[in-house]
Amino acid sequence: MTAALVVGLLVASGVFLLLRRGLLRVVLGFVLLGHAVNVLLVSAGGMQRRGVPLLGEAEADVAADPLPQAFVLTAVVITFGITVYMLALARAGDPGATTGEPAPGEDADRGGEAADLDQRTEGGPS
Amino acid sequence: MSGAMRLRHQLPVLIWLVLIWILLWGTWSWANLLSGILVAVVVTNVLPLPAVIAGARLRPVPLLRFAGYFLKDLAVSSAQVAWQTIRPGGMNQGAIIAVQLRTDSDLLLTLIAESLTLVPGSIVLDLDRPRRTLGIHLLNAADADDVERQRAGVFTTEERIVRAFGTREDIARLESGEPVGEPAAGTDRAEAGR
Amino acid sequence: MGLLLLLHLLAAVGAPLLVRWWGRQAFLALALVPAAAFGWVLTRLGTVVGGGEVRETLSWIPALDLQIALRLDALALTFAALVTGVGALVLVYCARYFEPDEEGVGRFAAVMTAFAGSMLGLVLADDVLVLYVFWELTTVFSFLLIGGSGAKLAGRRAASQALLLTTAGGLAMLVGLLMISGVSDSRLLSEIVADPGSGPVMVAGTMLVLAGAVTKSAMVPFHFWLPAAMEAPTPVSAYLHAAAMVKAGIYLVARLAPGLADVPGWRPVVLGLGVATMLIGGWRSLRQNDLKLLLAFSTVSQLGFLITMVGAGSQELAAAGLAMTIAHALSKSTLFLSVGVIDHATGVRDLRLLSGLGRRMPVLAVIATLAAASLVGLPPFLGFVGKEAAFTALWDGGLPDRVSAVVVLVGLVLGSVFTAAYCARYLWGAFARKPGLPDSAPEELEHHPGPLFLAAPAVLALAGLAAGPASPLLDHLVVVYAETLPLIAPEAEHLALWHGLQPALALSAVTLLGGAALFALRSQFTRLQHRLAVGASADEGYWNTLQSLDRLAVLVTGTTQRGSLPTYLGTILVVVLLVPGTVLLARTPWPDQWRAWDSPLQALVGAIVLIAAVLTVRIKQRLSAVLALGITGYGLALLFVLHGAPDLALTQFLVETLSLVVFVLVLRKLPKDIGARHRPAERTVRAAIAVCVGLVMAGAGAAALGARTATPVSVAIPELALEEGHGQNVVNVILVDIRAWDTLGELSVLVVAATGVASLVFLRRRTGAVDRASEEEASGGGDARRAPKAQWLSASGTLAPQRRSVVLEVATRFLFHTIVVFSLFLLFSGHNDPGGGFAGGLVAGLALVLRYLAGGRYELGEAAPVAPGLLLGGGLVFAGGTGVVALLLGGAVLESAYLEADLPVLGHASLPTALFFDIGVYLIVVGLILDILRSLGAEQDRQEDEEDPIDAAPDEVIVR
Repeated sequence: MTAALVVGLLVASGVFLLLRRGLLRVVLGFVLLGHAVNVLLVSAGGMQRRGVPLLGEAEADVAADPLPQAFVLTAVVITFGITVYMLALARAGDPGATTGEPAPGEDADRGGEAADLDQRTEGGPS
Repeated sequence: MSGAMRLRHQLPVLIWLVLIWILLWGTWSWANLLSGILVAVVVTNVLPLPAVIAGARLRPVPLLRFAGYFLKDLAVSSAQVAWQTIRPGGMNQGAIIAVQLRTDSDLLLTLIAESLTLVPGSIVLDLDRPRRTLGIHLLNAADADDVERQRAGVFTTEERIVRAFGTREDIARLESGEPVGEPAAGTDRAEAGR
Repeated sequence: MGLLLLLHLLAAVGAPLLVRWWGRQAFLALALVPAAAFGWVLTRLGTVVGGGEVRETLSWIPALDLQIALRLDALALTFAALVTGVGALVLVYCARYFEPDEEGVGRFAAVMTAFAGSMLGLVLADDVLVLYVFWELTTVFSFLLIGGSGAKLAGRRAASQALLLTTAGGLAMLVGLLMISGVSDSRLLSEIVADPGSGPVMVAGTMLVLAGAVTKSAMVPFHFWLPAAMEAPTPVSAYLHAAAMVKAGIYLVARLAPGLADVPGWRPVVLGLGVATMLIGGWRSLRQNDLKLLLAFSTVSQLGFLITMVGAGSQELAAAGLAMTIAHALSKSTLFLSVGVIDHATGVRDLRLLSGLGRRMPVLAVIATLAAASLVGLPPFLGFVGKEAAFTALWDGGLPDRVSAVVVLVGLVLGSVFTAAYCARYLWGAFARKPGLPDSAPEELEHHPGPLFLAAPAVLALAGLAAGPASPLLDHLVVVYAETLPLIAPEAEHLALWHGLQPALALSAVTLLGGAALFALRSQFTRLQHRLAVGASADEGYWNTLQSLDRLAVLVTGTTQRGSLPTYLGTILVVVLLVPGTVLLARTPWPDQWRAWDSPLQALVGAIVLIAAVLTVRIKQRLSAVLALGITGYGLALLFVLHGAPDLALTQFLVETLSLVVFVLVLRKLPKDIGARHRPAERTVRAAIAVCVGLVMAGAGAAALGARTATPVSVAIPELALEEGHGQNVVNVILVDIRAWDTLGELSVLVVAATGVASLVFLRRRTGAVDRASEEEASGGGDARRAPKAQWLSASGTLAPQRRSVVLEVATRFLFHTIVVFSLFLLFSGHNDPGGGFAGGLVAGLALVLRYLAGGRYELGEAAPVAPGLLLGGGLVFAGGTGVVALLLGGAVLESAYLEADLPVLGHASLPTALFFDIGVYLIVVGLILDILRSLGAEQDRQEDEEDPIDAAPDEVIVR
């Protein structure tokens, strides 16, 4: 029940934030949604089994299901990556954010943008 | 810097890292020791940091003394803070005090600041390095006497730490220097931010 | 047969190279390929005429039970011979049609050869899906050939029109074929025809298949794409639009007629459309002045004729139809090729401008006349034989319904009158000397056609001439196919030049005389046509339809894509409510017993998470909201611990810490205003959606908790982990071994995210140069009262004095190496204990965060003097390389091997190769964090410094 409640309230909070206009709030809402889904996945591993999925530490019949855990572990890291990307977007989307250099959205000159891309690809991980 | 000098500076770090490695694995074995040495050497050489003559010593008896008092302070202060939070009278005013310490070592000052911060009820806000002055926020200051009492507590902590970790010069400086108290500039008693 | 198709494919691939080497002569070499196929087909003639067939089955996708089933029977052989024979000749013709140094010839040669191959595949295919694939391949190649280089608007329009219509028909046909094969319980055409199913599905499927055939063969009302496709070079018109592609519809009808002709609706559709097409095509053809367009409408007309005969479903008409198909392919290709020669020589195709060419190019005139004579049905050409047989069959009642036989016969005779008329008009227009027009003077002949240029039309025309007297021989082949159909007339008529004085002979005479009369009265007839012309045409209808479709698309896009993120997300969420929500309410097996909590601690942590979540929503100050969010994350980590997921908890804890750092780094740059300007009504709607979605998800959660009734798939995983992965940490083994593909995909996502972040910040390049301390003087001086005396870090001296902190620098100095060692411990111990590459990488990343926070951007450069891209790429190579190595060692990709040995002193040592995969993970995570620090941290500092180098005020760095 606790898990279900946590999922429900996290989702509600996340959705409420997600539907707001400010991009930062959207990111916050996204993170909360991610949390909710992670709890849901882990909970789906079953209620009765709470043992540590390390061989030799817990009996096989009480050890928690490792598969949802593996899923959630990757989900946690991916959520982090996407969160960071969204934050970078929020930062880049703010016209005042990049002083001295034009923000990507402002770069009206398409030719210039294409040149940018070229440079970016050429620059590569040097 | 010559190789020997560098080794002398690196050796304590290496030993510390190998120790950590073995403790992390939790078992003693030659494999753990050798891999620990390998890891320590690789880490310190791939990710180098400037060598510092820390000038620290470890004195077992004072160290134990410090550790004991530290734990005691931790327990007592926790209880005090907890009580102040929930007691019927509400919280007292806090205070920000400036304390000029006698010791003049980056490392010791850091240790003092950390241990003061770790104990509930006091947080180091500022460290004025040339003047060796700590700006400390006290969560609870009943009256001027209480402030002075806590200021004295800071000096006690300083003494314990210097005796546990300081070099001979540090201890000598501690013994010669007089505790000098001066009110921090412009630090009226103020409610803590949060 | 498969080998022949492969040969075509290889030739197509190599064609551009051949053209580059040999110029236009390469076509001669390419012509060898269809010629070889033609030769092979002829060698099978004996088998097929004897009633046999050649089958070949190649395995394609065994898992889907797909195979390339090829079959050569009488019908397939007839078409295959046509396709390959005409194909080879047209390729020969191409060797002279193009200028020696023309642009785009290599591409043309490749597509043309590929088309020849797919056409051959189409007529050989026995499996309906293979048939469909080849069918659409011909469509695509036809698109490429009509469109040419795409430089001409008309070409592009014609190509897209042909593509749209024929693929639309093709898709309908695919559905139809699947329905038919489903009802008939076989995917092989031979079996479907032998034992077709019945019922409404069969009828619908048949109609859909006919839709494909009708569009492909340019039947009314889809006939208009064929004249438009005359934009293509003449060899394309001669091959695709006379002999090959447009015949695909005829082929399909002929292929299915033995089984499906009695399906209700087949005959009305096929016969009705066929006769209508023949009449409309002939009528329109008489109005054309462009020789190619004249031929195009004539082709439309003839296709109607052919489909009527092969689709009638009677033995005698089918035989006639097959003969006519050959006759038409031979003569129409010849006529097209002749136009090409004329066009090439004079640059003119308008019959009002050409005059006296017959004297200039007598050989060509003879060739074209032979071909036209066959098309008209003059004895002794093959066209005469076919037409005679068709008339006889209809006269004798070659259809089940006597009335329809009469109607069809009248229609065909009238259509043949048109045929005779426009053929005469073609010959007259191309070669006759016209009064009032100057002769096309010799110097106007830019190119005099050489023998090779005329070879192809000559061979084709002579073949049409020779096949007439030889028709009794052809009869042997045709009869094998025709006998698969029921005989409706009293007796079967065999193909022959002379059947005696019969009604059909009279009908032939009628068509010739009628045609001659129409031609003689052509000016009056043209005036009549002008008077009867209708305003609308199918072509206009097509373009109007397309335009309204475009307008509809704009309208729909304009109304749905409003550019408002809340609207989009709201829509998605409402759908979530409606669809899964309804299912949840209606169908969910709710758990039998409700347990409030597993342990009181869980309830407590849950409550903390909930309160923090509510705070995140309520708090208006950004930093505080972010901190509240952090509390939910840490609470989650605790919940994971209580759920028995230590790995997860560790990762969650580390990620949450890093997230906080990133949030704070970004908050520096975000405007203070967080945009709380929402109308109350909007707020209510949002709250309602949020609460409802929350309830649905809580319900889903509650259901999920109790939903575990079946045995989970993961039951065997722990055992697998130990035996195959040699690890005791099951979660880690899943990540690096059992489901390593997932992890590899995830790593790619991380790399993409890191690259995305960097490219958003570094506008001009992937990353900036690494800021090294040596580049910058220690700023020193000023108010350095917070700086330590000794140098504890590499480059903290470059930091503005106000930003320094003794405590942080000293602590970092002592913790950095320790944290790195800890991260390595997590990496190496992860296989058996909580940890692994993710956790280790995150910890190492935190060490870098510490260095950056304590010492600034130059310190970060000193701590990690590598480009993050190098770490990311290196990590990906490492992780992927493990998979490749496993492959090289003979295992499956990413399968882990295990090395173990007893070493002196060290004891038992073991090394799973999955460790290397984990090292890749570690490197990528470190690279990600380094990328974040470098872009959102260091680069931002640099931009700030440049903007305001003097008073960067540290106290205002974090603004709420």
